[in-house]
Amino acid sequence: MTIVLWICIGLLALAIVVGLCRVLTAKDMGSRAIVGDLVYFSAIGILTFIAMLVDLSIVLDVIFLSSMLGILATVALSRIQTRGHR
Amino acid sequence: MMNPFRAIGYSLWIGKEIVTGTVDVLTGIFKAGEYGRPMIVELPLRCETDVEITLMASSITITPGTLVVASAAADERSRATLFVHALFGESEADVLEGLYEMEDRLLHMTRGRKPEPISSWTAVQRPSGEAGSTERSAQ
Amino acid sequence: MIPDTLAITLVGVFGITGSAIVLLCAVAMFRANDALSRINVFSPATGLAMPLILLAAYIYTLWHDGFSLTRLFMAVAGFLALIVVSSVASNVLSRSTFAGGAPVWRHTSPNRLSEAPGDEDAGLTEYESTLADFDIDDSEH
Repeated sequence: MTIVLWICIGLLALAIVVGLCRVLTAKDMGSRAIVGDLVYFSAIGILTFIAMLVDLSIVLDVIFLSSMLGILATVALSRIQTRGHR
Repeated sequence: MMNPFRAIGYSLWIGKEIVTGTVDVLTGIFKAGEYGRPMIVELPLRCETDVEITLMASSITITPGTLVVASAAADERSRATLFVHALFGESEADVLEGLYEMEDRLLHMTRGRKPEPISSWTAVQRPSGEAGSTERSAQ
Repeated sequence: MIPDTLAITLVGVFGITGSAIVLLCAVAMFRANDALSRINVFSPATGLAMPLILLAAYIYTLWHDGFSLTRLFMAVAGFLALIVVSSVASNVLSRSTFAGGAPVWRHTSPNRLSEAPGDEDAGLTEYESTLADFDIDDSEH
């Protein structure tokens, strides 16, 4: 089980690294916002797998709450993009 | 009122579309050349209520490869319109055909009957929206 | 409740598939050319990969703690929320990306938004003009 979880964590960490490399070359705001989303969801996945790794009992709570509240970051970034207009 | 069995069937169909769209997106990585063939198509909707339009926009966006970019509200001259960014269509007609199939299934779910076929009004596009509107209001 | 081998296999299959899809989405974002395409290729990650990771987490809970109605409710609600919420979030983000004047890749053809007459998307053009006014006010300060 430990090996499987470490493989998952490694893949997600690699996804974050690839996304951050792309942010360095893309200059427009929309790309940065969507890469921020990618990093958010990858981090949630990593947290879930770490919770499994150390036998925490909040495995489902993490992903349940973050899926409900994930929209807040995206909406905030899109409001920033349009400078406060809807 | 909405038939729950149709809602379940529509959800399963959306799930199938998500999987096939994911395969499209992921196989596109390994093809040489530029990634995808992006296009922005205009989709005049047969949906009328706000719930139908919202469901349609969400269904389009959750399917990988298509994304709603902008929307225009219905007025007396034209119907509600979505502008859809499609990444993996062969041509504009191909993309529109897939979207109309999704709309067919959606309206069959919400209204309990099939909407009028596209051929009766699809020729009535942006240049003259009047004929389509009068036909719709006559019903 | 579930034998160890089966639990490890299922968690491995779903977890690794989900993580691999997220990674491949990141690669696809790397290859895409404009912001709209990037938002477009991100929907497999939220629509398929995150539900798969949620499924892996639920199977792990089932194996570790046993069945519980609260956990089942959490898993189902999280599953639905992931799909609906991520779809709405992508809608909001793509609309604001376009309205905020992000560049669209020049090979996007046909581009009906650039051809549409002014009255067709009246809300959008009016919106952009107010944004431009705001820009001028901003620079005066």
